[in-house]
Amino acid sequence: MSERTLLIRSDLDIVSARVEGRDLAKALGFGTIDQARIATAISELTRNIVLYAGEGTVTLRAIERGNKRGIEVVCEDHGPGIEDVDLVMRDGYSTSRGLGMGLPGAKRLMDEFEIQSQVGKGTRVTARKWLR
Amino acid sequence: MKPTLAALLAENRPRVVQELAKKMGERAGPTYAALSPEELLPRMEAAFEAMYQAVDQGKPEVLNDFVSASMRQRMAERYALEEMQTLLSLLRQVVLGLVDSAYGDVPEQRLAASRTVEELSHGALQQAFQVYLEAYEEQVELQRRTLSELSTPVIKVYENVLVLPLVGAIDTERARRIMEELLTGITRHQAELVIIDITGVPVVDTAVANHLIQTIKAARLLGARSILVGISGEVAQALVHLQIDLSGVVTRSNLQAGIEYALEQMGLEIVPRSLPTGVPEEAVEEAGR
Amino acid sequence: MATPLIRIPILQIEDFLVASIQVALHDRSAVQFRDDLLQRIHETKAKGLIIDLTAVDIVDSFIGRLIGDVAEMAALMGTRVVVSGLQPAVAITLTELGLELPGIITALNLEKGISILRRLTRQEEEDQG
Repeated sequence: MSERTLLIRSDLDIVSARVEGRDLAKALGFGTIDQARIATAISELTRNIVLYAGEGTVTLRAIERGNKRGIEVVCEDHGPGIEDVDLVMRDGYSTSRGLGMGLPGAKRLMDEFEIQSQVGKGTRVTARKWLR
Repeated sequence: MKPTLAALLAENRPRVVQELAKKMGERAGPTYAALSPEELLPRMEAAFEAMYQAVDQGKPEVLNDFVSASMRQRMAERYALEEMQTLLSLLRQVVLGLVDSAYGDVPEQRLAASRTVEELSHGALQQAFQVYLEAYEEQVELQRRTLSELSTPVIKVYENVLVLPLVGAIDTERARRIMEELLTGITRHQAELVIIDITGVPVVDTAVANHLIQTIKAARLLGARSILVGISGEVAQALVHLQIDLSGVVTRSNLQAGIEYALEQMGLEIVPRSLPTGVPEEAVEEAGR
Repeated sequence: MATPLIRIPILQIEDFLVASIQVALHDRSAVQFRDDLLQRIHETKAKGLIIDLTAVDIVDSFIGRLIGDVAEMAALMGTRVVVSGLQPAVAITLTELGLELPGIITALNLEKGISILRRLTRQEEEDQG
């Protein structure tokens, strides 16, 4: 199956999402290290959904661009949205003693990273990684 | 009304194949010369069949696919391209000969048939070059990757001690590979000390320094301490200039100093020892003996 | 809805506590694990704690920070924390996430972890004695 959408509502779903992500990455031919990177990024992103929106979805799919193949992770929620995306993406913002946002971390682990967010409407994070 | 080109080919199949086989045996390179008639004939039949189908279906791809498949199979042989050129050239020659004698007195049909054959041959030859080029590039890429893997060897110099000698420029891709190789090496050799030797790295800029620091941090998570050696005067200046924080990283001037430090960490040291002939040799002993 | 909480067994070996994580921990179980660890440290006054992650494939920022918290709190109670068995893939992702686990001693495997703790404890006793 090259596309899966999972409902994210609890910490159990975070674990399911990253296991699915790792399995898909493995099936696509990603090496062990990249599998870990992808799974960890999914873990970070889905945790954000649980923490800040309460509920959302993550879609995992195999993608192609030219002769490159890879994996795409799309996390969507109808939560409060992010007011200042740049601020949130700045390192150091998330290293407070409490629960950080994990977005900069997820960005570092993946090759492509996009955030679309509107206050009061929700957030959508798209991350992609390509096979080398 | 004269037969179509396809019909002409079908009618004359055995004759054309025989002639092709004979000429290939004479003209082509060592690979073909070494073939017995039983081996040669099927190849010629396959080539003829490909041309026939291309003409009959009006699809040049059929012949081109044959050329691709045949060449990829024989890429390991040195004369693959040359011999395909010869085969195509002879095929063209033999078929054109057939066209001339069959349509000799009907210039229009002869012209049309000749053109078909020329176009097919030309396209097939281009395909041969294309395939050769692609395969060549694949080879080069494979070699490049193998070489770069070879250039990040992790060497166990003593129980628990690894040396990672880095030579050449380090880009992100290579840095990643180096980190993975090192961590794998630490796991495999159960190493607790790693000496990273950057004597052979020409440029140490912010990017390289950060790669090194990340590698050192990751190694630490596996319980291995790193010793950085081979920092030249210029590199030291550059690092200070760029305000790279290497505090917490043990550094030594060269590999020897690094190894001595590593052994020291394990409670060992290198001391001179005399051989029976009185020539001193160095040995590794428990420190303090 | 009651979520099944996974309890990680915490064993005692000599003066040390050893906890080996064998399953994927969801956030709530991880928090329970942290609480259990701190409870046992308090009860036993253990000199050291080894958290073995040999069987763990994925460590994200939540678990990473949690382990960092345990180490900090354990230190306040006089207990050293060793993390053993981190897989290369995990070490790399933690580094890339920016998590360094400062103040935590790391060991390649459980065996080395125990020997490090023994050595440190012995040294401490010699210094004090």
